[in-house]
Amino acid sequence: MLLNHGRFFAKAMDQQLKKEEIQVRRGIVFDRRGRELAVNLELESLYCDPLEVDSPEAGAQVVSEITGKPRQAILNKLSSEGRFVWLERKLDMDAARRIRESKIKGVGFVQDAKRFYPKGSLASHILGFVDIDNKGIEGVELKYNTYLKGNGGKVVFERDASGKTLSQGVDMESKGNNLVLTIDELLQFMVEAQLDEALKQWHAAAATAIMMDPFTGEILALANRPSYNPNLPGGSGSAERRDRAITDCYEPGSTFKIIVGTGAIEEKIVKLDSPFDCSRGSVEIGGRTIHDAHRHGLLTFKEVIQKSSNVGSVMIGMKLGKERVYKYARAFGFGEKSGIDLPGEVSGWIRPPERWSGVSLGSISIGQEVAVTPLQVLRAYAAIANGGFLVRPHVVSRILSPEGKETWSFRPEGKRAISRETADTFKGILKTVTEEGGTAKMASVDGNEVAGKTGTAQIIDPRTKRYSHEKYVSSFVGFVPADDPKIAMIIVIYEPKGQIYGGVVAAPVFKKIAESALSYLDVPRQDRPVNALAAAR
Amino acid sequence: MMYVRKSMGSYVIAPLSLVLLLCGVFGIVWLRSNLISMEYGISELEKARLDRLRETKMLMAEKSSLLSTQKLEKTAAGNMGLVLPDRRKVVFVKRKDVESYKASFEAGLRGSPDRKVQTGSEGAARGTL
Repeated sequence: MLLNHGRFFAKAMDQQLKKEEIQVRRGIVFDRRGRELAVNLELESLYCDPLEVDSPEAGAQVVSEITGKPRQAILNKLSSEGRFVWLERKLDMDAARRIRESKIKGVGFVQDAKRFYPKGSLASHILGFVDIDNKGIEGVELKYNTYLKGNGGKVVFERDASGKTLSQGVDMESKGNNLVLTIDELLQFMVEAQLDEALKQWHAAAATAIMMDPFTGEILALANRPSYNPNLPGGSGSAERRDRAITDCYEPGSTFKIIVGTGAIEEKIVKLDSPFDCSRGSVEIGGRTIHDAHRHGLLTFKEVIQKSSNVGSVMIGMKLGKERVYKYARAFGFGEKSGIDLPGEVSGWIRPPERWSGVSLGSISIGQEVAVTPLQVLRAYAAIANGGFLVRPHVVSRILSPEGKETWSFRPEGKRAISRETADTFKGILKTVTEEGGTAKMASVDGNEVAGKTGTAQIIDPRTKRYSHEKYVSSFVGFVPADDPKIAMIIVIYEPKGQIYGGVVAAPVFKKIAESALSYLDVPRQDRPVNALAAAR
Repeated sequence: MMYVRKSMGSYVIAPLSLVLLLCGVFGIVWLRSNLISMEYGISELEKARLDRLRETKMLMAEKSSLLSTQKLEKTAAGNMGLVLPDRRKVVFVKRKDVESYKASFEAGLRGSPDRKVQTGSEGAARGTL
């Protein structure tokens, strides 16, 4: 007996001790008002020990009938070598119960969590999704994977002959940190509903909308179409999963006129009433003729922006010069990542002036020869809204420990892009864009002033390598209420059919979303005095 | 040869010690047995707690799903005929104790934003987020 001490001791330990994995659960993702956007479902995964299975054929038949998986595949697993083989991961409760009741020898269950997005496809491009092992693959699930995932481990239990274990006083569930997003479920829903409607109305190829607090950079809503359901990520392709708001570049067209407009004011080379002769309807630069969509007469600087004259903008750009156009483009954050806390953001591009051709100054002045993301454009207009600061957009506002204690919170960052005076002056011009005579009358909101700018840009045809006359990107970017902005928003509709102008295609979408959003945010109308009766409260 | 006279005490101490020793041994066994029983009990309770926790999570997921804006909107607009309020018909009231809110970066130090994000009733009352 003593001679075999080691062997028997090991056997005794093997019988008495049992190792169990600590269940790891990802943290919950909440919207800004505490509504759950990503939670965990407690399911069971089925495994087998092939050496313990009596009748693989019968077992495979039962499991196949219940799970709907091919019988042969299950039979192969039940007949394989090794002591642990997964048969089916994350079974629903009913299937697990039925398999358990069938008492197949050699199969067992392990508790397993499945990530569940209770709002379906809502905010899917922000949330992202996880793989079968609950590892973040896209969106905040990927970006904040380190915080969301819990720390696992193993606990050794003592057990008796019947298999009953003794408590070790250890919590067998380890939870990750919870995230509080900046987005608001209801605003997100409003944006997505209107985007769906616009996509249907214009038979567009794709669409993007972003709503942001212009002062803090908090993303209140961000949506793309086409979209996908993060509960079934396998059922969608890369086109549906792509977060166009930050990963797709496009030529912004007239929304980029903010660069020459603000640059000219900041450098004091124009006044609001400085005249620009646009009566020819075209202007030549570097051997290329740039046309206006509609012929205008003599326009003031203010009217050039209000009516979105290409000719006038090129003239302003020429006055400003290429070095300064480039300087202001960079000051507004073009050509660099905004720093949003979502994976896959691209920087877009704008070439340095030394690499510009003779046409570039004219083209860039009207938003061509540059590649931007919708978020970059929105960020630039948010700077006009907030008095000249370039903010850092973000989607996560706080990280909470599993016990609910705040472990991290975002501190808004802003760097000055232009002076307050320039921002205020340009804001005044942007207000006229949505008024009578502007290009975005359809963006005006009942009761509150809107400041914004339309954009209609041609897409380069990959076959001819020239601007297409059929494919356009229509956009509108603005903020409301103009003088005390609560929201800044961009709408981008890719390849609309029937109409192409941003003022017709994208501006009405802005209006509809803004009207419901202002109601939801309790922003009063400016044209009516606030009811004084309640002041007595 | 020496003879030692035993006292009465020595006749008592020996059996008493034996009894005490036995009591001690059985006491320890009894305590240990109770401890193990309690550990079993705790283990069962922990399992029950985890089960309840799992049920809570499933219910929370179901609640979140049922309360999704999409579903509420569908029910409200479809079955109940409700619509979102028309801004022209909404009367905004001003609370006396709350000043109007103005956001600005200007007051912040070195250009850093000074705007505080308001949440809950304060934010709602001021018409901000």
